[in-house]
Amino acid sequence: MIRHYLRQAWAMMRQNRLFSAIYIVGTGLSVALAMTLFIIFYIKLGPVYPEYNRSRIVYLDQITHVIEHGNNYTAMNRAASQSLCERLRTIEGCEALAMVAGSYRYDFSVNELNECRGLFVNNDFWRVYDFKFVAGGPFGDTQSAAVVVSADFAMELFRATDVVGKEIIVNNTRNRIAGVVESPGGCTPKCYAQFWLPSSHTLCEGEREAHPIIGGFRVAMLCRSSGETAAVIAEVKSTIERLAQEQPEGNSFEAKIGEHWKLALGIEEDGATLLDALSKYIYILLALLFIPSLNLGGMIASRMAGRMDEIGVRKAFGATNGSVLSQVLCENLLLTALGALLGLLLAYLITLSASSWILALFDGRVNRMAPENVITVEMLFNPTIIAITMLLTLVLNLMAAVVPTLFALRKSITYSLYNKR
Amino acid sequence: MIRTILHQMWNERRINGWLFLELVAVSVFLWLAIDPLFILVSRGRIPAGYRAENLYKVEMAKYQKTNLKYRAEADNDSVKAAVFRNALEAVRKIPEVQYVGTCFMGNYPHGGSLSSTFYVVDSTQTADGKNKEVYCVKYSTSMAEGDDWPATFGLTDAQTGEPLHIVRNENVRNLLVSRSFAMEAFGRVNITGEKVERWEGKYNICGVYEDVQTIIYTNPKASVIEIEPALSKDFSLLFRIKEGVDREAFEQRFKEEYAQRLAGGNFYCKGIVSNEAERKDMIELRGYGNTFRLQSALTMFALLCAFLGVVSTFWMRANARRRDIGVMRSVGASSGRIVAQFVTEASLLVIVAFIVALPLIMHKVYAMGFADPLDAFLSRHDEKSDYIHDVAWMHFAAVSLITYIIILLVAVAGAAISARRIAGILPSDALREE
Repeated sequence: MIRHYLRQAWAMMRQNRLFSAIYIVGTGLSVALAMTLFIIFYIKLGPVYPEYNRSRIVYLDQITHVIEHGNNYTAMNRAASQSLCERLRTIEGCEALAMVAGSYRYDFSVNELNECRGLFVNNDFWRVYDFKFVAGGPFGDTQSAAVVVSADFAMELFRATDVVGKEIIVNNTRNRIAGVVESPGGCTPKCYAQFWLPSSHTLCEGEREAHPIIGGFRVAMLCRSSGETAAVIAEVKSTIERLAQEQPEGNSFEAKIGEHWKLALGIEEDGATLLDALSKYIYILLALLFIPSLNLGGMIASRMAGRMDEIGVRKAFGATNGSVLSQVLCENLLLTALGALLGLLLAYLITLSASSWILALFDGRVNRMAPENVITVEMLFNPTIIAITMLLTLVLNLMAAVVPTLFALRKSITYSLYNKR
Repeated sequence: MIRTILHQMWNERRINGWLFLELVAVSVFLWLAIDPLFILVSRGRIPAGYRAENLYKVEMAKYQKTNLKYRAEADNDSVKAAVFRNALEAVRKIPEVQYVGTCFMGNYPHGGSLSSTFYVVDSTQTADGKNKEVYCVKYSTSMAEGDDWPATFGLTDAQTGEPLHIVRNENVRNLLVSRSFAMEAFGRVNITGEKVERWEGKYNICGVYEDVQTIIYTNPKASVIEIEPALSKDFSLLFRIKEGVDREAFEQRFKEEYAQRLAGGNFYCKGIVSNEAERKDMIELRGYGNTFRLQSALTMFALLCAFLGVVSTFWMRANARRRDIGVMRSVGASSGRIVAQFVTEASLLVIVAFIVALPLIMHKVYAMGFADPLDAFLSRHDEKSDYIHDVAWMHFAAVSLITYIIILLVAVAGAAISARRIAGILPSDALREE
């Protein structure tokens, strides 16, 4: 039966070309913008290379040493983060704990290049983030003169990616390349770099290392499951509170702790949920669906008015309202699906052509130093994006077709048949 | 004709109802999308108060300790001061350069950093008998090495409208103040020679300039320029090139030739950046560029939806009324008359839809206020002004008018396209097909 409906829909689509074109474009427009919105948030919050474990990672992004009647010092040095990490590692539910220093703002000199982006990381970094090694492997904790480079950086330096064992000079020190990873993009700023050095590397010590806490380290904890992140966060907070109690009077710590989504969306409130954070975007999404559905609803209402006789005949031969409704929904689904396909392609086009700024579209401030975003095929063609598109297609089809069809079905058989005369 | 059209619209109320609902939704949505755009455009038209064109900042950078080119023996304040003096002199000698100015770090209009302070005005008392305190933005310069900040920025004298005239008193600290500062402190602008005080001591007011905009999109506010007795340790170098110099060629020449002359010690010149580029950069940095893109996309989306809605509805109605139109044409109605009828119908629908939408929009504005595209810090510190975006009723009226005109134009265009197609049909064809 569905096949028959679809064949009829195809014939009608070819018959009423302008109607079909407007319907498909209207649907495509709505789906294009809605899917662009979804793609932006998928890349920011979903599992993308190499941050496949985003739902399980808890960040201790910033810790501020608050001194009563004095200056506050933000961020951790290696000694402070190491001593803190020893305590954090014992937390129930913590599977791995990465220490990361230097940010994507940090400039290094590598060989003759002045401005490259590097990170100092411990061995657990390679467990928290799922980097794909195209050659070699990660360095161990004790290898202070080793370095892992990205494939793009290796190409820039050596015009090859198979460069394990070669040496590069980072900030005046020779480092042997232990591994080459597939290049991450700017969409994953927490772990993005062109090269990664062991955290034991002495060069990361800053000028203000004398202060008990100042430095550039942050911590990323991989939880056993996403359900355990709340418990881990609570435990991290209580660990920091205990640490503060060990300090001289007047000293305390303020920590910025949270799951990936909280930090990515700039949410600082403790009790905030993902739904709260996304609520303002949900209003935009509803508008993107509601306005075109009114448009499509109007078009279907017009078409139903012209098909009253057909409905009358079908009802006269025993068709129920349900079967007529399902026929109309099926027929429209073909047009909506074609529109959705067009919309999805448009969304891909928008995302790719505006990749340099589109991910920051909803951010209050834009980071001038942020690395260039690289939108990969994996980010666009994945089951989540396809499933959301299909869901949107169904929702749009229902929103547009149900009400006008029900209105048309309210008419009696005699009215419907008389309507043609 | 109007009565006929109203009758026609009522008869087709079911089909019109869908379009009407869509137009109401589009009106509300479009108003909300246009509001932040209006605010940004209106704020973008606030005069900067200085000449941004031909104005450049020199970008100096320092090699880090770990860099191959770093030299420890050159890492001290005296070498740094010598390098920067040399850079100032080198820039002044560039033939295309007209004026050179210095300021403390990025503390200049659209420079990215902001310093605020207050001054006490001895000669003006508040209602409770205390000396008046005026809060303001503070810029600093030295003018000790032949550098001239006011001329570099092209500041104008608030009294004469000519380039700023400075009457310095070498015995005390000198201060240039803006028009808003002068008005707030003394209630007039002819205050050259008057004194104000801060914790460092008394300041002689040596000139009054027209207000300058400190941060993009904000209203100009009271500001002062403190003239320091000597160059600051962390000064930035700015310069203005002469009128008529080819800017593109100059920028290229600076990169290839002049930049090397500025290097010394552990410092090197990364290049120059124009004040206009800094303003644009600030627009991006503070997220205004993205607000613009997002709201423009939403506006275009709403308009396209409205256009498609009108085109599809009127096209279907026109098809359904081929017989009527055939009869009208056969009794002498011109195609223009038929188009006019459709356009009038669309216009009436837009008017009624917009009237229905307005209370909804007013309720939103009453409950939640206008859009606030500025970042939270600027929103909090920006003072109200007489500009249209700061006067509530004018703001509401302007956005409503813009929204209404845009929707009307789109609806009229959509209806006209549909009607023109059917209006060209021959009466015999229309009647025969029926």
